[in-house]
Amino acid sequence: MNGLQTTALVKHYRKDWTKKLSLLAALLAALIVTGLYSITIGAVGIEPGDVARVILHRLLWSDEPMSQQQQMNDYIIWQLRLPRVCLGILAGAALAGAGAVMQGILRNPLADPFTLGVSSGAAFGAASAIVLGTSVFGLKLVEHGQVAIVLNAFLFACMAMIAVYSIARLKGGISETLLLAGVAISYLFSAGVSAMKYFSNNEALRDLVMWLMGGLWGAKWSSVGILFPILIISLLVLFRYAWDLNALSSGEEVASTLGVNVSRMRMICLILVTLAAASTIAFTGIIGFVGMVAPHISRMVIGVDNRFLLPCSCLLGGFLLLLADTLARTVMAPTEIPVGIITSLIGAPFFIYILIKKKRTIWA
Amino acid sequence: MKTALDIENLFFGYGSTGILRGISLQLAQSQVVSIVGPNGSGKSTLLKCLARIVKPEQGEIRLFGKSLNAYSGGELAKKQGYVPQSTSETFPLSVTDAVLIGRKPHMKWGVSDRDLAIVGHVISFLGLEPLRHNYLNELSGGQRQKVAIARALAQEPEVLMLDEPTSALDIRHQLEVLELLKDLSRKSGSLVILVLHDLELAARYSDQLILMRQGVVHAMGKPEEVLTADHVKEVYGVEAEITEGRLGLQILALHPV
Repeated sequence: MNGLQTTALVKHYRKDWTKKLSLLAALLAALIVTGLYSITIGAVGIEPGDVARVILHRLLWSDEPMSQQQQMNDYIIWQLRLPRVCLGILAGAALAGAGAVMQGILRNPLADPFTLGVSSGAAFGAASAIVLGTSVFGLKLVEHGQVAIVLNAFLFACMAMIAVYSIARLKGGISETLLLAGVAISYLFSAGVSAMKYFSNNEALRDLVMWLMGGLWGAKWSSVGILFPILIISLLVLFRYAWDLNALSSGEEVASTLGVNVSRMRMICLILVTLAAASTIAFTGIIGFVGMVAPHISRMVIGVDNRFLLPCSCLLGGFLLLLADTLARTVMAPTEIPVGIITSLIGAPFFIYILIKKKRTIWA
Repeated sequence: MKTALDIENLFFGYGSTGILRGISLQLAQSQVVSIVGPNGSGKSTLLKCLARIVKPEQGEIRLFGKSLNAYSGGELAKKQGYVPQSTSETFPLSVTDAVLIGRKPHMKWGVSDRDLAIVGHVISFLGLEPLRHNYLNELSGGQRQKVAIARALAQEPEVLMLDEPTSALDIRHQLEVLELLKDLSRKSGSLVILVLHDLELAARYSDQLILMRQGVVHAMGKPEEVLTADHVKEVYGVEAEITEGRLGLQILALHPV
């Protein structure tokens, strides 16, 4: 045993550990600052001081009377911008976390909620609710329609994943089968969405196209309130599987001889990830790229250890989506651009840039 | 010598086409045992049954007197390590991180100084010290194989199983790896089980050979007892000339029969 070199290894590892924790802390700080800044800008600019005053007023349950100006600020901040910022962060975190875990369990850099069929399942669910809801059942979209869309999107997203998983199980549950089945199911549901578009009337078509482009304009505290616990619970359980995911990186056989129950772990992770991604997409519509890009960037800055990769992906995903949404609602204010367009428009070239630029290959 | 593995009447696959058809044997600690035999004779399957990667249809495997199925995943991972024929990582790990994964059965969430000390020890035992910070995709096949072995050793197993550990290596790395494994069986009293194709290397580095043919053990024992011209002819269908060399048996395959 070489004592000196071992001490060096311990030291290096501990230093690395501190560095990674600081990086996570820095990301969290950046996320909070950007969130607060995002609240100040928009169609109506609000001074940072006023933002702080309104938030403190609310948080402290103060019953001090407010001026008319303050009441207006309070409405804009508390009813419009803050829930939207929160939803953006949650959605980004959920999609990125889901992407990171999917890439891990499938051992494939291309895996994300899209490639596994969750997104297209949700799209089909939303489409059927919008098109059949307005034309066949004559539902008023604004009232019950919204709930129907969210529920339907969620249900079909889960159904897509169950179908994909069952196909893979039938064939022996190999990673490649999961991914291929995901792609196939995606096409199936996309065809369904196209059919819905073709047969829908103008009004429904407009709603459908809007939904498919993805956006956070419908952000309410109620959606934040539903998403937050789902995300927290899924993430906490997923973090417990971090070492199992690490072990799986050396292959299924090795993982099983390291004491990982691979098929059970894969099923639990897929269920949680589907839950998080499906509930997110149900509220936001299709927002592309965050789920795939955030884990890849995270791997480059913090490494492949899932104990760090998962929190890093979530923070970065939240940060990226927050930035994109802030751009989406301010660039052409008061007109809004669907955030899905922004994430893909900026995300794709950026991703290509890091693909070419990076020194170490991010996948073997 | 204490018995590590006790295998009784093992069957895998059904009927006369079964991959394993009634295997019974006992393996003691502190030795290198190689499983040899032609392609499709069931070598790797036997190893995978022992590593509990696949479940046999019939029969019983006992590890240190306790049924293999009675071990929990984590318990078993502390007793035995397995190195597959080849490993591929989707996302590149550093050598240290890859070896640290072998500590998984011993860790909950955090990494202790003891875990890191064992990782450091294993890394220097395999001569990987200069490559500690390198990424696996920057290494040669031989170096990667050593990392895979290091990962299994970090589990601190009493039984180490390797599926064709030398198949992708040049002759120098083959000798190095087999030398290390022999060393390990002597120093730590581990049972090392290998699947090997090269009969000369198997004879040279093993204490015992298991010669397999169509899912059954054709012969088992000391290399010179197992690798006779008759056995090679019966199992491989090859006429061979076997002589005692300076470092073990030399096998000259003459022609197929």
